[in-house]
Amino acid sequence: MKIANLCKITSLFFMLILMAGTGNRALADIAVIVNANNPLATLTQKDAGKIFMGKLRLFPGTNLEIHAFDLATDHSLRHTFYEKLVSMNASRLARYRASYLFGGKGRLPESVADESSLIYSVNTHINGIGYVSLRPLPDNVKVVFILKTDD
Amino acid sequence: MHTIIRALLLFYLLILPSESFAFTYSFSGFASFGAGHVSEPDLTFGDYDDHWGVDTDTMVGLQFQTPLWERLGLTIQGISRGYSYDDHLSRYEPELDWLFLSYELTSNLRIRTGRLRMPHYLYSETLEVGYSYIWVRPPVDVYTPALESFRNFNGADITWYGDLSLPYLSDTAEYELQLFTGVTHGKFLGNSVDVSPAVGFNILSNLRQLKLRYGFIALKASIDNEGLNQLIPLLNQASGALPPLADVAEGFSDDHEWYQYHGLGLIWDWHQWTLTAERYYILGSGSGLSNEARGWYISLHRPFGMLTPYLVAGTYSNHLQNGASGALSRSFDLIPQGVDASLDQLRTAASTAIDVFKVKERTYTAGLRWDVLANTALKMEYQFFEFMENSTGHLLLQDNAQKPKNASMISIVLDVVF
Repeated sequence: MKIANLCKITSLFFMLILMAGTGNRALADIAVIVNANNPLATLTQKDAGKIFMGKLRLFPGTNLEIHAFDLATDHSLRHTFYEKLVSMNASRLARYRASYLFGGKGRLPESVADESSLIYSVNTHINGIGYVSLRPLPDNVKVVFILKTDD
Repeated sequence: MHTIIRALLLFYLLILPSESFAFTYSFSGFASFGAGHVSEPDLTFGDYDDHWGVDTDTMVGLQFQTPLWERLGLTIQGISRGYSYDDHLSRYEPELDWLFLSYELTSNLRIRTGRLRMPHYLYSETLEVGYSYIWVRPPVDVYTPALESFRNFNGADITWYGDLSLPYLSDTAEYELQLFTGVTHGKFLGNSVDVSPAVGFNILSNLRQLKLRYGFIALKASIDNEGLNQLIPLLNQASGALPPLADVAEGFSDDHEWYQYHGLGLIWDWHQWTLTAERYYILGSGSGLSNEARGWYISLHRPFGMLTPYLVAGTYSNHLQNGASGALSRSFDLIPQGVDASLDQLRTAASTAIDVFKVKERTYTAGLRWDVLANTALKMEYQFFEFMENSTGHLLLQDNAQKPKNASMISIVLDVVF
């Protein structure tokens, strides 16, 4: 009886570890999201990088102008996102953004305080695009690219 | 330009009531607060001399951006600088640096029209935004103040963005091709420069950690120098007795000569290290007041947390490429020095004018950038100038002072974006 219980507990422990592992990995990945009415179905990492670096101003294959949303500069997900997406740390990204903004290239992504605000912003802008940690999302927001963070 | 601003504001007000488009305008800005000191008493760099100056690197910029319609946007940027090489600008006099309408024709094609930045260099578009680059100021051997007159132009450009497949490397290179044309006018240390037209292209390519740039500009310039304007009639007058002086006068006259500008740039990121290098070359037509200038620099930096030390080395040279110098030498074969005092005085003045255009220097710089806050950087640098060709490089010598062989400059700047 004790051995059976021990086996159950051990199995449960490993299941929990596996679930925790899976959960952690799923939570750590980052979803690039757009409004559900956006004709865009998927996005490549290269195009996602171009969008958040301001090098693409219309969604690929559409005439829809991009309105990008960014998390606040002190948000940890923001650092991970740009490190993984375009290999830029916070300092280098800040220099790039200053150069972009004041160098006549265009407008910067609109900054929002947290992930809930970002989801709301994409939800209310047909041309909105942003990024959040992978999670259940409302119906009128869809994922077009998942950025893996565990490689 | 004021008329253009009024027209744009009127246009903005007319379409503002439209409910079909959401206006989300934005204000932003940047500022630099600098101080500097030159080791030698008779040399100056802007307002820096052997006493600490605070104007040369100090400036404030404000920018307004707004979408006007779908894919159509307006950008206005004004700056106020503590020091300008334009003698007609007073300290901190506001200048309009950017004013343009941009329209996204497709996802990879954009046109702009208005006042734009002449793309001489890798950092042309953000010369005044100190926060956007590592150094206290971009290396002076390439970012020469002599081109300040051509900093902006009024005209238009079109830019293509795309990817170039490179099957050899199993990769794609991003490219950006800009074509532009326009006119400009400016003043630089007593020289008044009119450029009409300037046409050119600028191509940027990104492949993995490598960024490459080549820029070409052909410009028709008329350079008007107050000192030379006084000298030319005297030389022409004296050419009756001494014909080679007519060629010297011709060599100082510039009226709508074509110049070519070539610029090469490279940024290579390797792990934490970044190597940046640029080279430029200006070639005159060979007639009139035609000069040949060239410069290069190589810079290396690596961040250690919030601190980024950097090293830079560079060279700059400039000389007249016309026959003025040869003609002046021939004049001494016909009438040697000491025969006619007034002719000697005139030829000394001509020789001095030729020497003004003869400049050569090498610079070595060591500096440190400290990213104090997310939008603030403090930078300090030490720059050593080695002068050649009996010149003082980019440092200006006070009249009749002894020319030193070298000099050093210390600069401190606090850069902010907001």
